[in-house]
Amino acid sequence: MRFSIHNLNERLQLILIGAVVGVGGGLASVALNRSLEWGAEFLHPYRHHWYSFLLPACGAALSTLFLFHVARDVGGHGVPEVIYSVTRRGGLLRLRSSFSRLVSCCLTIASGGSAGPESPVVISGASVASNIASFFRLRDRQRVVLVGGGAAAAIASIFNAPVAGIAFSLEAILGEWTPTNLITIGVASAVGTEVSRLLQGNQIPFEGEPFIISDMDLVGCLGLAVFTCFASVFLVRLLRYVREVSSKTISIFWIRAACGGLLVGLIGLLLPSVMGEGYGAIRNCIGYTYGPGLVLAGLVVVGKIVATCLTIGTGGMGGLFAPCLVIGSFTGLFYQRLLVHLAPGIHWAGEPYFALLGMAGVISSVLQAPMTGIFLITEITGGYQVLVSVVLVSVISVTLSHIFEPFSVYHQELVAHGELLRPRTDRRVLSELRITELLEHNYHVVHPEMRLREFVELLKRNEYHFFPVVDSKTGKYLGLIHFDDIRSYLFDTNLYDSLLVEELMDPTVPTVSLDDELPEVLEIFEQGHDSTLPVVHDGRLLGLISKATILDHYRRELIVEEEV
Amino acid sequence: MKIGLKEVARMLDLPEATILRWIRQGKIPVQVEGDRYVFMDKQLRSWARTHNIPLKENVEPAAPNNGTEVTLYEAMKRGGVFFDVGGGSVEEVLKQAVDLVNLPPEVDREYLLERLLQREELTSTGIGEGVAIPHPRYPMENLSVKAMVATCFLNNEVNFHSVDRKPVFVLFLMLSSTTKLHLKLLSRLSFCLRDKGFLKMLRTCRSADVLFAKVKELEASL
Amino acid sequence: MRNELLHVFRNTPFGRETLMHSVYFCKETGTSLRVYIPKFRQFLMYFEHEVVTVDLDRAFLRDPGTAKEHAEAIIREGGLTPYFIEPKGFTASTLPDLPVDYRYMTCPRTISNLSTKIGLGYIGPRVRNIIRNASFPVFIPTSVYKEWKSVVVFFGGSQNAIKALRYGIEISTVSGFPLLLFTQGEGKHRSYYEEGIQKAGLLDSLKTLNYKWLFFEKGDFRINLYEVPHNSLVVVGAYGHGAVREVLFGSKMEEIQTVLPNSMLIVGPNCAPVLG
Repeated sequence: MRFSIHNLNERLQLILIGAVVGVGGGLASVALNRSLEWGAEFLHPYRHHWYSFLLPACGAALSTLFLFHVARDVGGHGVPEVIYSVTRRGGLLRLRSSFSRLVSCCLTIASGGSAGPESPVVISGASVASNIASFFRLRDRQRVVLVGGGAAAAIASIFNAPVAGIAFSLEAILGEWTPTNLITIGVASAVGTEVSRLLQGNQIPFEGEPFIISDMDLVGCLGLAVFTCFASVFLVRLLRYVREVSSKTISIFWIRAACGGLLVGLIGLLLPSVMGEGYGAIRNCIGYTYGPGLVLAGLVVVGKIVATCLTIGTGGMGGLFAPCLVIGSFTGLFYQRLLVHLAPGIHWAGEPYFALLGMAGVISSVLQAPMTGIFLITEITGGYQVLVSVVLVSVISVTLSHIFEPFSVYHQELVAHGELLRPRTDRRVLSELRITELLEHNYHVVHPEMRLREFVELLKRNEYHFFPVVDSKTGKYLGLIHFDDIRSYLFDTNLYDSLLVEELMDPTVPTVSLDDELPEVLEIFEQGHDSTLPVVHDGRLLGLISKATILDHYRRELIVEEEV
Repeated sequence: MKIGLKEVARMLDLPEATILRWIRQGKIPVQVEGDRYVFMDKQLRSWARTHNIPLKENVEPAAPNNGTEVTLYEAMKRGGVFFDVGGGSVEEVLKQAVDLVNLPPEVDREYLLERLLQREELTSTGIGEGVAIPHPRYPMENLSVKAMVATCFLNNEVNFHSVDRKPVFVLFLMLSSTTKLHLKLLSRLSFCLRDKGFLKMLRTCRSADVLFAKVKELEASL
Repeated sequence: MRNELLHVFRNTPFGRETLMHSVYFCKETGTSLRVYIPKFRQFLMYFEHEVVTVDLDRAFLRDPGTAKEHAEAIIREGGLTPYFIEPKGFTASTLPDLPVDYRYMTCPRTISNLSTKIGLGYIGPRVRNIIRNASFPVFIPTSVYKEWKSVVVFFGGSQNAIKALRYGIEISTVSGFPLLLFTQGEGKHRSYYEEGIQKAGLLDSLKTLNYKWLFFEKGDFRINLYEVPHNSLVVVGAYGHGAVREVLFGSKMEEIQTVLPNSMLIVGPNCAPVLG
């Protein structure tokens, strides 16, 4: 079977395998969903006891312990791992990640941790896709697209939103919208959604009543965009802060997670809507069934942000999607009530309308992915009539939050390490070129004891410009002679027997090592105004590297990557 | 603060034509004032920062050949002139020379002699017509003065295994802190030695001032 | 591909023996030694078709303060220059990945369990995973340092065995140590194997080396193994026999590693052929 796949046209291959990947992603999401439901049922009786606030702490501790000791799948935060793998590692992901995160996430959320099931399902789907691709011995480029498909299938099946899945994969994970990508990912997403519908039924998660909107509401949207912007920036910054501070203060990971969980449990005592993934709370917002009170709504927003940061920042396993939706809907709720309070004369649209828009705003801003936000909200609420407002809020909120936090929450870590390399960018091309590929050998090696007279003879016999000096006994590189540097001495025959090569060479020319990264090498070129540098490894000269050759290779890389 | 087109071109080390093309394509932030293009300093800097483009700040004209401003005349004056330096072999005259010369305190005489001999071993510093230019193998990096050339007229002519097999009657002991400086001084000395008058003067020279004057004269014509 | 051997250093007396082995191996084969002193319990290796997670046992992280000095001392004693590598890529803040374009890699028989588990017959799952995926052969030295003075290649005729033979010839040529071939006949005549070698174009290189062939037409494989000199480096291919036999290393390999205590160089199915 493996071999017959290879005989097909590449696009056809990707479509078929994409479909398989879609099934994988779909199953992963159904599995997690079922286990969350089961978990909720299982823990339900315990929630009425006094010690229920300790549940998130236990869940968080168990989740991290499981991940570390049982699954041995340490590290990563889900989506950033997938992005790193896609940009730097040809889409390779560990097989164990396909199930370990699901279990761990179940423990975190079922016990009340404030996180969503999305990130773990994304990495599960992506990992399944990656390993399927490896099984079929596919190359990096194809594997990367399939990983994108896995991620799309995951999101699509969780939310029953195929287009949102595609948008998320292209916007956040792959970073580029090319025809090949689109087809494969589209198939995976569609199949994933279908799997979910077959096994869980085709419902729209948050269906609401039709809306009556007036022009004033559109104006109101603008204000909402500002609020969602602030909510998102607050979330992102607090998350970063909690991560840094908690990893510095508590070094034992499961205690750290447990502390986070404990605090969440305490907050949950006051604001129960803050716990778990929060879909119930969202339904309340949309269904007019959330209790009254402007301040209460505001508190829930803050509380949910804090709880999410405490859960995820201390090591709990879960995604940000669902919490963003909750935060968004409550921000909308708060804003609507604020409007009503400030301008009771105007007939504002109902709470569900603003809740919806709030969700769109927050998701778009946190992920810095407006398309994903727009499609997701539209698909999960069936609210096409409010498309205009959704677009407005998403776009404005993204633009505003970009000023404060230019990179999405997923990309920040990577950017901090200089690891975010989008295709066909300067840094990406440079990172793919290896110094061994650029070595040139257009030189003649000389020894330090050679006299100028002999050197001149050598010059007569060849046309090279560079003469590296190498120790005759140890073979170690000592310095470089460039033809131009010694022009003035060439005609002074008096000195032919008294000048040695070692006196003519420049030992200060910076050397490049095989392990150096090209951006650093180019930096060295810039500073010294050299156009050619020696590549030395273990003291031995391996070759020369020149800016001109780098340009040739650079162009070739770009040309080869172009899609026809 | 406002910057003009010329200044921006200098800061980016690019021709004005490129900057103009970028302006047209919208790749660089600019404002139009009347009929001129004007750039806001802050804006330009933040643009350069986000695109990782280095800006060249006010650059002083490159320091003039750092370390090679010493003339042969100065070096020879610093090194001094010594007459009737004794010794019958290469090692002996070099030892004598090292002992006589006013070396700066940080120079270890024995170490220097070792290095001089090392250099002689590789190939003779006798460049012909009875002149030798002994210098240490590898420049003396920690030399407090940039360079010095000590002229030693030998009591006896010594076989230095020179190229032209003529025995050597005068040594120019050359000490420099960098190879570049050494090469420069050597090149000037060689220039002087090509002058027949200079060589003749050397053979009969008994006065340091005469030597210095002639060197100054020849250097001036360079 | 760089001409280097990757060694992950365990700062314990056991690790000392392993490092000494790597030093000797590098000296004899003319490769440069690269040492990684781990700071985290895991690291990743991104091979062509799989990313292998290497879980290290606690001993690898023991006493980090003295690790570098200890390693340097051992390497210098062997006459080589110490060179340590720092990982540049991180999949997560505690999960570095190491480059994979090495010529060889040294692994003890187990890398994620305490050294008390090391004994004949056991090669840990992580090490097996590396062998299966790596583009370089894996060097598994004996527990206690012992210099090998000959190279024994187990030649069974398969593609992988040819690869192993190439490595064996290369090492024998560079080190100058004698080369021995070991083949358990299994019903086929010696000429069949010779043909295989001939087809791979290795017969000439073999002849110039003046090798010896231990060919056993019959007899118990395990008993015949006694003929392998105690101080030789055993070079053998692994995972070369198809899906079913892959369940175990390929039965010959299992027997060899169960019976022989020699240092081994295992050539996996994804090893790059020896260059020049």
